[in-house]
Amino acid sequence: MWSILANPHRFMAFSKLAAPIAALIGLALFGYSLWQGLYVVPTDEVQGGDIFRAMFVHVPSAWLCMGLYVGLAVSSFVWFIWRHELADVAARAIAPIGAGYTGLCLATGAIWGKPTWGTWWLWDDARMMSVLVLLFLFLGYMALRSAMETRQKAARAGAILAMVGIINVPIIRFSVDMWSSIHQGPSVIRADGPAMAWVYLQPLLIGFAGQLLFVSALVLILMRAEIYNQQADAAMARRLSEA
Amino acid sequence: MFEFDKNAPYLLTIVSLGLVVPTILAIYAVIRAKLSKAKLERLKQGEDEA
Repeated sequence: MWSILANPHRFMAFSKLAAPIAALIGLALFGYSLWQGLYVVPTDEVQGGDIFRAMFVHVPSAWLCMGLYVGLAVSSFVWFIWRHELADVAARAIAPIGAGYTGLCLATGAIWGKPTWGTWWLWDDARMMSVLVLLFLFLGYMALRSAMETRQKAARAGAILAMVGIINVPIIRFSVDMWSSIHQGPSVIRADGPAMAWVYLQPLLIGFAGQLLFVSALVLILMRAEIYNQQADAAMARRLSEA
Repeated sequence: MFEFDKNAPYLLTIVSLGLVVPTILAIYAVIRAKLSKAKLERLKQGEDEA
């Protein structure tokens, strides 16, 4: 499938259909998850009462920002090794969406932290700081690319940064185990199975699937924009060479 | 409709952010795609006229 979509013309035809379908299904699933999370599932007094319902926004955004960074690093790796242009297009498209979702994760985590831990932010907390580093990696990737003179230089510099930065993803994941953190330990992806009751886990996973589809749609739309831009640049170059 | 406990303002702010941020990202993506497509079509139109 990937080799078929690697052709930009086929990709444009596929994404034209796939993006709106993924966005609509994603929104429906996310809406269902929010409705379940806010109004249907019982209050968890152990987790501080109704504030635990923030989980249905915060946790999918946390998983997504890490997943988007892995997508950015893998796309960069594919471009770096095989010089496949569509991989670079994907990397460029993922970065702003990843930055947005990392910002959402940090903001919702800080707001959740105030009533739960009595503080918005802790500068010596391993989980918070490693997610902040992830935000800087996304922003740095975009800034670095835009500072370069040519598309090839931008792709190369961006790819190196993205590949080196992947080390931060396992640091985020294991930060609560390796260092001191006020953040709770993992409760879903654990060696001995999820610690969360199914009544909460089911809408959480559905919400994550919905947001994943929605984010995929946004990445496809931004990839289309990038391909249009490249075609416009090629048309401009043709015009200049003819003049 | 439904009532939450004393932490309702925090919860509703988080939910609002969870709706606003993806909406902003979607608007950004759609506008970028539309502008890029319009730029390409303008250039192609210029090529055809030339």
